[in-house]
Amino acid sequence: MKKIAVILCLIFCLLTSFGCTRSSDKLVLVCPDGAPAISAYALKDVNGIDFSVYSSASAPQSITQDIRKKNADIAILPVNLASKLCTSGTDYKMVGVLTHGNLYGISKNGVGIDNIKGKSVGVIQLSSVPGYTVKLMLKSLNIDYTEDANLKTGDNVYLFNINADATTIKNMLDNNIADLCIVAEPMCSRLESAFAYERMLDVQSVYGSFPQAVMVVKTSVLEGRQAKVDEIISAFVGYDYTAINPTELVAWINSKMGDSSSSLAPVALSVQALSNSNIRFEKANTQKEKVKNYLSALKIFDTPLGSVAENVGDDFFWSNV
Amino acid sequence: MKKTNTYLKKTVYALVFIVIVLLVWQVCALIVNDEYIVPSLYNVCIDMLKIFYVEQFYSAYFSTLFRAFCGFALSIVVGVGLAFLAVKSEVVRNLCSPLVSVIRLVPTMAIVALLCLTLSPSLASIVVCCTVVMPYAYSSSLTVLSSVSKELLEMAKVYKIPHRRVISGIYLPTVKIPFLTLLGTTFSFSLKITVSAEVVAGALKSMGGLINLAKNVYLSPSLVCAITVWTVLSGLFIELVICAVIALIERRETQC
Repeated sequence: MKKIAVILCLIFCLLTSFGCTRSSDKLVLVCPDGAPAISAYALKDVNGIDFSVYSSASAPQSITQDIRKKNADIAILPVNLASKLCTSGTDYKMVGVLTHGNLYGISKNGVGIDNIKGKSVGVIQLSSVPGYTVKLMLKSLNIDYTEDANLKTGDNVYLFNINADATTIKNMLDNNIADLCIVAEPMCSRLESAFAYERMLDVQSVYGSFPQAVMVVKTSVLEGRQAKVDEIISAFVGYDYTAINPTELVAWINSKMGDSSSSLAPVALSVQALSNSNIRFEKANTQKEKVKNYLSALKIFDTPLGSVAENVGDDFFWSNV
Repeated sequence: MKKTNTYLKKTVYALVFIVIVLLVWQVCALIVNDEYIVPSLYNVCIDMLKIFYVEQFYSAYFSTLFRAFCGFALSIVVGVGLAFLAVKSEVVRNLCSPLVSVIRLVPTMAIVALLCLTLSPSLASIVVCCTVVMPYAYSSSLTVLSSVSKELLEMAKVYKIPHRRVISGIYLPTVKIPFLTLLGTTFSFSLKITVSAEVVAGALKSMGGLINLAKNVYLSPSLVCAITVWTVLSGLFIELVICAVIALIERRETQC
């Protein structure tokens, strides 16, 4: 009886060990679909990394859980999320900025920043960082805006939320529901080429480039596996994203998404789209002030119900980069 | 006296149910011990009170109620109107039956996604609410209207009784209580559908929009729960008001 119990235990241990997906040597990298996933492609040939790409819908909660439970060793995530989850820099530190803003405005009727007053502007994710950035841009130009259609006048801009899919945006522009639609790359290039809309606004040029997605790394990894971290950073620095094969890129991202599939399509990932996505690795110590200023600017959108971002100190940044 | 005892009994059972739910919730929160998976009752209650100090909540709350009411009113008008015609005409009944079945089977979120292509998220939420609730309003109304005595209606036809008196004297007494009950359940259902549509459509100034904010930007599951609880309580409140109105009507009829 005892022998049978021991054998059963051994079999159980063997079976459960096959069930374990995480190897103790491999680093787990998590990121949302879209530009962050494209940025992670630079690491595809780096050994010892397990990638997990989340769909845009589930990314905030999934990445939050991965960081809170310390399941992720590396995370590429929106800067405001990073500031809320890793404020103190105790468990995770920011190592670099990966995307620097990819918001552009397209119009059918030649509406741009110079004649935007009195117009209706559709913005993707109006209640999130893209929307807040557009509002900051308008504030910086002393242009009033409203989200109430009844309060639209000739002197302000009416902002409303739009879903980030080509058909919706096309309908909005073709039916004059929106005079201008602010969308992210690579969607913008796709719409520009497919439907001959005009790219009338580069948010990054008007407001300035801003740290959109950042990479944070677990402090234990930074301290214990410096060589690996250096290898990862080296893979990022100077990587030419415009030279990527779009079909291979999308296939790679899909292979890291489990049951979901990427919202990216190869046909949308032209050289122009990849170039306009502003994906490049900038080290933390060169981006400190920019990140702090941007987070501070986002704080004006805080409400008593919650904060959009948190102010961070120097401990948030990894200084050995 | 018997009816009062019945209501008291129902109230006690409801209170016991609420206490059990709260206990189970708190026990789960203690076992899981992770605010992001199961927020504690305490934090949810704090958020439910905090919400009252935020101006954003009131505009969102009343905007959602307004959209739910519009969707509800539209679905009642269309549903009851179609049911009335279906009772009068076999042809209409046979045409409505497959139509209502198809509308009932279309996935709700697919409707939201399609409507968002051309309508604003706000309008899309109202149309979705009407689309989902109307089949239910139609089926319930058809059952109620079909229960009106056919003999009485024939008698009214024979004696050429005016339509107004047919409605007030024959239809109303039979249908008023079931219709009032239908109104109560339909409104709370409309509220639920409207909030769900607002979450998917990304409607601003809405309870659904607040849920999105709480979930994606504030990272506050307790706030998501708080908003959800307020939505449920609002629906329950409307149902209770309708129940009270029904009780008043029944008492008045008993006294007569």
